[in-house]
Amino acid sequence: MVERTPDPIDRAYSDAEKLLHEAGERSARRARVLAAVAQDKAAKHQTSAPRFIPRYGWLVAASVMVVSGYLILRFLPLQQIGSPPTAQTAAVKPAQKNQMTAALSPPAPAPDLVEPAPAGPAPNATDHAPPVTQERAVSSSRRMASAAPPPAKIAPSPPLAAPPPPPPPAIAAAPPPPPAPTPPMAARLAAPMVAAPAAPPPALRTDGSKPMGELATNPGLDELRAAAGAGRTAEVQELLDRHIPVDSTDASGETALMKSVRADQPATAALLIRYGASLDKKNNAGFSARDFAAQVDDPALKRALGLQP
Amino acid sequence: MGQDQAIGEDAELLRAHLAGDGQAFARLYDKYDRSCFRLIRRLLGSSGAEAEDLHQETWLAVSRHAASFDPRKASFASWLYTIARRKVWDHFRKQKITHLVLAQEDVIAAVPDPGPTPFQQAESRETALALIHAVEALPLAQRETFILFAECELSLEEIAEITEVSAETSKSRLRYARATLRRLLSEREAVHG
Repeated sequence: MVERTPDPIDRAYSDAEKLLHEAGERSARRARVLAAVAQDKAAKHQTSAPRFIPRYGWLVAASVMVVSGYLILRFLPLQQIGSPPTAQTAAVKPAQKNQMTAALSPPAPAPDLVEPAPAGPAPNATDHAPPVTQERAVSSSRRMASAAPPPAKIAPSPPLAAPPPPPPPAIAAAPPPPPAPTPPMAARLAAPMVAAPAAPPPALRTDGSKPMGELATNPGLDELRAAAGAGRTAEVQELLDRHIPVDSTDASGETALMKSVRADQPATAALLIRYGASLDKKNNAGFSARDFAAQVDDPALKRALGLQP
Repeated sequence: MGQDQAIGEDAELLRAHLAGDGQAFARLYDKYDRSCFRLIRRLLGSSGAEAEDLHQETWLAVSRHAASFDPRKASFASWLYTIARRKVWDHFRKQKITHLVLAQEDVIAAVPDPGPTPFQQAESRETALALIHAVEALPLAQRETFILFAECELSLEEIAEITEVSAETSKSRLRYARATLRRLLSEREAVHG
């Protein structure tokens, strides 16, 4: 066992630390660390507790698939998936199609209403449709319509409520018939499965580089780039210490490092590199900070960027 | 005996923290935060902001891995300073400056120990700053040994375990560190009168 023998220099160092100790810094640090630990512990509890959620999610997904499959089989003749409808389809189940047409038509008043019925587009169909079936069809179509995109790009098919159509031409050679003014029910139901177009992604970015949230909530980003371009290293340091993202970009895709390089500010550039700024991130014109540095004839700048020994 | 009692208290506080007692961790933090922060800051030698970050990471690691602490293997203080030291070395590794710091060790190690000087304590802020800067200028291995001994009040065996060297090596490093500090301070006294 080696004895612990104190030395005057040890005591002097300890005294020096005490003399330079700043209570304000320490209490702020204490609050920050203990808050971080508490938050971390709470997050750990949250992530470890509900392990049933993924399994439950799969169950929901499976249930949705089963219900969807049932609805497809219930309302959509198999022939209409992937091939144009034929006359036979329209002729085989006229009663069912009448129900569907009724479901798509404006709701007809009940027979016991006092007011006279308005002239509907398909009065015969509504007359023959049993009230209960009609209600179910309406609710089904509403459910499906709420989940499906508009059927504008569906391969058109002849209306179901029409009288028996003439014999169809050869399917392979037939040009697609002109779109009907009101697409039939079956086509509407088939819309999401047959010809659902990929929806364009939501417009998350306004300038092709920055998320909107970043623009709206972090005013330090512009300050960082401005300070970097002006070579205000201390201000850059302060902003980075506030965890402003070092590689955030402006409308033209330029980062703080690009600004500092273009302004030939080696000290600021070195600081940004130390904080992990990317030399290879490109602006909207396709140029990186490395490209800009190659155009600046300053060995100090190149050394600061680590491009030259 | 008092040290054993302190070790038992620390382990108890850590267990209470694991059981959900928020105050227990705060008490443990208050007991060690000053020496832990000084160790990190002096090892880094430069940016206060980086020291703050690593200090917080250290305590987060303590909280996360509290269940793995075994008081039979080491004291809480040793465990804490080991974590803190690793955080700093990881930081150096990321910054790729470790070798630059270590490269000076052999040169400084050749400095003879001139023995104790009249300098007994930090008498003024200026002197204190000079001493801190001198400590920060020590080679990293000597610096961490010196701080772990003088500030964290660990034994040479504990320091040897934390720094993964023999107790004799720790002792040598401490001696060289003290010698260098004395020499630097003597030179300063000579210049400033």
